[in-house]
Amino acid sequence: MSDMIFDALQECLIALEQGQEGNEVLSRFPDLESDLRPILDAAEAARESARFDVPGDSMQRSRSRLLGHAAQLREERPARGWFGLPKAAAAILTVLFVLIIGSGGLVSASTQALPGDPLYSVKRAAETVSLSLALNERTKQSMKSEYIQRRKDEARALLILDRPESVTFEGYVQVIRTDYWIVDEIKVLVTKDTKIVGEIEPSMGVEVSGMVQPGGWVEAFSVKLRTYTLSGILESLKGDSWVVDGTRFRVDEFTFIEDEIEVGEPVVVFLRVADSGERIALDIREGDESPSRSEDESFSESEPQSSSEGEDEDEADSGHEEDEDVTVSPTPEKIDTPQAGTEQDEDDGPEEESEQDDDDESDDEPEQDETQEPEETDEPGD
Amino acid sequence: MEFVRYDARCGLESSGNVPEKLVLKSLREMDPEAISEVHARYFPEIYRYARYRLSDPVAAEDVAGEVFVRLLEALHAGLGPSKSLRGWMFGTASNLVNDFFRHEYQHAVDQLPDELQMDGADPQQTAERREELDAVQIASQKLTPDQQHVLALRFGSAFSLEETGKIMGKRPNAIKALQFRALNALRRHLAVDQS
Repeated sequence: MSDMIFDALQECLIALEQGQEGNEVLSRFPDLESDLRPILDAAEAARESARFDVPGDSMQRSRSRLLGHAAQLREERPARGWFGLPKAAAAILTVLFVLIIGSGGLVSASTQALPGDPLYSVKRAAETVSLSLALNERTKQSMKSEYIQRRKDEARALLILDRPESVTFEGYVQVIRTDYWIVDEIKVLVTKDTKIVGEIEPSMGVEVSGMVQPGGWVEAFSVKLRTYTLSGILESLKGDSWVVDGTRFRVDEFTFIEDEIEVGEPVVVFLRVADSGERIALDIREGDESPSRSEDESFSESEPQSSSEGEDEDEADSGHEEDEDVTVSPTPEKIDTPQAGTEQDEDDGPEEESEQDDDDESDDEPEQDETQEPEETDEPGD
Repeated sequence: MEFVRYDARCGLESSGNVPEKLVLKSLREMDPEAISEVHARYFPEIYRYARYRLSDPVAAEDVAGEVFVRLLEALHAGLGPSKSLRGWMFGTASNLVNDFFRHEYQHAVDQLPDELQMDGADPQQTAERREELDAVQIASQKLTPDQQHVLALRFGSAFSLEETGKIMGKRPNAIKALQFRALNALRRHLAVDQS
């Protein structure tokens, strides 16, 4: 069959569609008429079969089913980035690709990205890649600190821009009030739904996870204890596992340990709390021997009023009815951690934290407040 | 029963309202509005296509609905149409119909249609027409999948040559040849069946 008949057929079909008479159309192709006529008849039959409109309820049913399916897919959706890969993988590949090619433009363009920005995943991927390429652990640790700072800066930027994104950042608790906290000058809304992990008090480091709200707040889903200072007597030292005042923690190659620390001596330990609850020491120094703490020094934050009237509050309970503020604690306090199996029944307020033994020199507040009774705290292996 | 009128030339590509890329992006995110929009635009023509090839309205609704479900699933998995949305959907519809005929499609429908909505036709004509339609359907099933597909698009759905070419991913000249062969084959089978 030559192409001519295909073209002729098409012409005839168009003519028929336009309403021309069959015979009239065929008369244009006298040579092909005998071949074309049966074909056109078949076309007519084929066309005749097609007269169906769509029943309205068919369409509705199908639409409902489809939207239901979409909702299901939405719930199970992994974030898909480029090439259909999960977003994290796609972002890391992007960064590696860029590093290899050497342009770096994309990565550097991403440094300003904030959560919710298209390039943010690239920024985070670049951090991951940098960490994995770090030559030594020192570098890695300092990078990690930098990234912690970045998360805070990002949160601050989002607050200023009033962009409702979810954020996670670390910072020091400066104020704990009944309904909100201040963490590194960021206002954190703490509600009954907020998950508080650890017994948190002012001056401790925490990780806040939450959502930026209009008005410059972060409404917290969770606040986790991350760092705090533990002062006490070094009770035992076995390998990398130490115990200070009943709190067990791990020491690793990055722990700074002051020379000549011995069991039985007072120490001050800066601890980091992992997600598992494990404590890892970042820094261990000799504790102060004198009862009057020189740590009263620098931190005087804005809240001078003392709640030494004997406010009893549970630790980390910010949902308390009273309006009294828990003041900013200028001094690191001894914390009885859950891990050590201790429980503190009452918190007298930041001015006073007492040890069970009189000769325990570390971290004794000056006993200014005679009205307070020294708290007995239970400790294992006493 | 309420019917939805349908115009073959009305598709997202030609409407020029929203670029197809944006639509696909919204679909990927399972955005309900985008999904409703796409469904409203394309369901009629996909249904019509399926109905033409299957005759049975229940099977047609099933297949047409499934095309959209597969679209969402493909997009969800990072696949799906990169070029023509309409082409992808008709291709999927064709595959589903072919599966149906090979009994690979789950919902088997045995009977030929007994309901053909005809307005104002007399019973004699209706009966004749019904016979004719059945004959075409029976004969069509003896054609190759591609031939069935082109007939359904060109005559069942009244797409132009160019539109059919876009949907099938073929040049207009190829469609010209294909439609000729399809009609030729149909003619042959109709003649054989009638004798």
